Amino acid sequence: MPDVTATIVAEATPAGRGGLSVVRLSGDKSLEILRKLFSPRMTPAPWSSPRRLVLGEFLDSGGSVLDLGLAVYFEAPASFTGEDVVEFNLHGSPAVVLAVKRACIELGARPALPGEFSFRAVLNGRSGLIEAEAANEMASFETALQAKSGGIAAAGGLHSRAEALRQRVLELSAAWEARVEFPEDFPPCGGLARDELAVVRREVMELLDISHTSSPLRRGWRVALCGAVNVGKSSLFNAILQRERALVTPHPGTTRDILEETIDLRGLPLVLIDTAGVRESGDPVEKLGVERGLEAARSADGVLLLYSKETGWRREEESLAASLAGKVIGLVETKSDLARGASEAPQLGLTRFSLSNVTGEGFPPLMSHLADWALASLPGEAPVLLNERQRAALERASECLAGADGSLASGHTEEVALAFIGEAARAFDDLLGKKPPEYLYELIFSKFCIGK
Amino acid sequence: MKYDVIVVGGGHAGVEASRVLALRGLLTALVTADAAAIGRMSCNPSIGGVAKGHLVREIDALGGLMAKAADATGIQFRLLNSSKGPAVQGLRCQSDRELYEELVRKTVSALPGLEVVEDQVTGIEIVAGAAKGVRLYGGSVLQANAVVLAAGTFLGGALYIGDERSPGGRTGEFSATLLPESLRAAGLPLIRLKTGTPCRIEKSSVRFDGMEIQEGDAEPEPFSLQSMPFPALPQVVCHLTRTTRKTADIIKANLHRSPLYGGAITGVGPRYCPSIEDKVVKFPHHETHQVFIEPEGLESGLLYPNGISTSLPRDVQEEIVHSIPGLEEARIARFGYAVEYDAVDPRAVSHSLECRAIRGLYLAGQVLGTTGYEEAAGLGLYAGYNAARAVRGEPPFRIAREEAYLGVMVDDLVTKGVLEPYRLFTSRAEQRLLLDRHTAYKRLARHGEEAGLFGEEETKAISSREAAVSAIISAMASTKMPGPDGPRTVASFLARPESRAEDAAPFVANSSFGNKWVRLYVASEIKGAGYKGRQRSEVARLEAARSVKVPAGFDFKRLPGLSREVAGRLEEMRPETIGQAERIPGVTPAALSILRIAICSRGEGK
Repeated sequence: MPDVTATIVAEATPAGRGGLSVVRLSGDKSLEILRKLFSPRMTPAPWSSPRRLVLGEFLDSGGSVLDLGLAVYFEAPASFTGEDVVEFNLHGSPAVVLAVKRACIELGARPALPGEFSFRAVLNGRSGLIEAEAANEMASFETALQAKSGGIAAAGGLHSRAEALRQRVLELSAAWEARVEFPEDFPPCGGLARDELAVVRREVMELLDISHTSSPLRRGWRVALCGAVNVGKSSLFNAILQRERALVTPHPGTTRDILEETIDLRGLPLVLIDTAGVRESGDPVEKLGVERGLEAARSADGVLLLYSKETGWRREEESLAASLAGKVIGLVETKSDLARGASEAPQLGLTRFSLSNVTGEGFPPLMSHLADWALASLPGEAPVLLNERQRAALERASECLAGADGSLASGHTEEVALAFIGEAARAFDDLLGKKPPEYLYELIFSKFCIGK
Repeated sequence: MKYDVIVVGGGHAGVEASRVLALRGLLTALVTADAAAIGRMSCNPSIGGVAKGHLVREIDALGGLMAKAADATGIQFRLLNSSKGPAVQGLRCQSDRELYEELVRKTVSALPGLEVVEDQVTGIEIVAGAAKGVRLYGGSVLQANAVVLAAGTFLGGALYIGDERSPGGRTGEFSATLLPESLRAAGLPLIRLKTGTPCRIEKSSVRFDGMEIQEGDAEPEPFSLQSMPFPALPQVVCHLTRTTRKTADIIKANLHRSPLYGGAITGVGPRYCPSIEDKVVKFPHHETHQVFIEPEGLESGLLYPNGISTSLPRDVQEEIVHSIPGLEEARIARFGYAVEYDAVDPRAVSHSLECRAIRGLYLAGQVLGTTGYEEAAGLGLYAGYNAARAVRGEPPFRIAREEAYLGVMVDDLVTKGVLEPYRLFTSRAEQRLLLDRHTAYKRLARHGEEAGLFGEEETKAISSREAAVSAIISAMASTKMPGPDGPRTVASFLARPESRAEDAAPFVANSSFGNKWVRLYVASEIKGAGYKGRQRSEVARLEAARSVKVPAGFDFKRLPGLSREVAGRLEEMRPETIGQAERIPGVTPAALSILRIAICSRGEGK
């Protein structure tokens, strides 16, 4: 855990060449560093009126100019972190960024750790924890629907939903507490509103449920390409990726290990998994590859079962279909430009696609099918993306609410249930980042990227 | 004449403080303007209630007086919330006011080393930042090494009945006007609070037929399990009547004559003990309000109408009373009034109840922003004990929140301050399942013993009861009894919420199980074992967090996000652990998070 009293510095834009690089400082030495490092074109220096973008030169300790750029000063507490913050807009050169960062460090700052700016924003009450997490995770989202469901806007929604649930839990106990503390002023206690408790609990469980069904949206829908050797799984893999990712040869059994790639399919993240072709093999390495492939297929969200038109539907396909029953979301007949081999595939109640890498036939319907399948698995309402921490807090709340209900059901008096309800309220506090224990921060912010 | 300690005030706080000081062998002066008023019940003739009942037993477990005085003079005992669990049940009694006050006065006058000084205190004598005595009306000074201020509502007290305003802390008594100035001058922050009391009614003028009768418990439980004999007095009933729509109309028509609504009173009253005019205004949808008609004593000709506290003018009070069924012809013996008074902002004292600005000055009771006899008595005992320890050069005595309601109250007062007179609630305790009345002696008796406040016999009674309870509980875990599906342990039978301890009695060899209070205690422990364990592990987690050390020379001023005030206070107090920092008044939970993180971030303190 970092020293929260230090002034920290980091680039807020990605490393590398670009039009612009932003270096950010936060902490009580920020202004002092700004004064020493940056020579504004205007005199006197305008720092007494913060939030102004000022043109000037960046100087090293010897006084030589490092860059010409802009600086802006945010006075505490009206800044991203709640501390004095300075941002430098530099030319997008790794060398310039490095030199300015070095100069800041010489003047007393230290390099920021991952997530440290957000950490301070939460610590200083400038940002809710859920919002800070979302802001950070946005960088890792690759598709539009992900960003919409897990981004800042959605975080606000989750925040207010959790806050409302917490409020209802507290109100539930307040009504009962009033009767307990003032037994002579209220009509005899009608008991804890158990049905209302059940409603709150159901809502928490619903939220968890939606988050569970939404989880492919965070990690991507995993679709395994399975089939016998040499039916063209790697060719299909490459064709969908539109690049030669997997090695493709005419030799059966070329693919030995599992390959995974994520694609953006109409805003949905899809993880394609190429597996080793299934056949009886004496080669221990290939055998292992086949086992792994089957394992990957079983743990995937869906399987595309491939067979070649040339060889037709054989016993191999028959037994593979049986062992992956329930997982297969489509049959793909490859090499549709070739002459049909032996028998045709049975219907199996599955949609079948005929593809040809040579003619390009059949791809659009397959991709539409995959997108429809992924969307259909999402919850009816807006998806909710919870991270592990948020999920654990909600699960604890749910467990405590269940405990409250269980204690009432088994005939315990209400104050026992109230103790559980109090714990549920604290779980909501954790979810919302109110009074979090310090280990929680450590856990959360270590996953952030630097400069956030 | 130089005393070890001077106690100012002879109410419930002053009495407990004086008693513990005298029993500790210190030469103590109790200064009161009216020696006849020592131990007076200024408001209702009743002790205990929800949370308050727990506190009274805690006072007993710490060796205080209130529980035994209440047991000896109670004329009706009831366990409130009896259908609920032990954590929220509340013992409450009606007292014979005169007998209670007499018993307390006699107890005080019999204390060796305690001198009652009848005089008015006009100021605290402060030498080099430390309280060294009190100044009396007329200018003389009583010297001491410490002072416990338990002046109740007498600091700048003003009584209101309609537009009549008179100085006073209680009806017919004086008001200390100079003392608050002296405290203010010494740098203590004062706040203005308000409370009130209803009129008293002549019993002979009341018609009881038609009123609901409220009986006491058939098998009453004493506050102190060492009280013998119990109950000591014949038991009586109370009555219940209700205000009418007419009552509300009278109040509404005369609101402009209320000092509360006319703007004369600016002090803040307790929301949970509202005047009848407050109830009518704030709960307009309630057509009627309950009025408990409580006897003031076995022989007393007075009744206390609980529920119609008011400061409306005398003629309106007459009208209100006469609008209530059964009281149509009632004669008022003494009118209700509101009292407004100065209290010290409790954030000005530390966890030992010693003023931070004035060493050796301890505060307790209403002067520290509380309301209620029980709260006052608990704080008086606590402040008196701490004054005794300080005079002897011993470290302060503290009780944690998890240990007792007294600990919850002290911590709430000194860290959060008050916005209205403070009253205890069970819900103020985070782990209230651990603070039920049965476990009070187990939690606290060692402190009372250490302070030497128990006689030999009482110590023995407490420890043998605790030993019996532990023995019975462990025997129950292995003793078998028949069940519907074959033999089971007595513990597993009793653990079921619906099982009664009596039904387990044939399988318990220990003769102490014949005692009803032991049976209740055992049953409560066994039934609660699971959830109490859950709360205990929460306490253990809290304690681990509190034991984190603040590195020596830690610079509090450099912590981000702390107000200058909080940083300054931390710098001034220099806490050695997170737990100590947590107990510094004004240090908010957010500030504590920041401090914890800062300490852990330096890789120290673990």
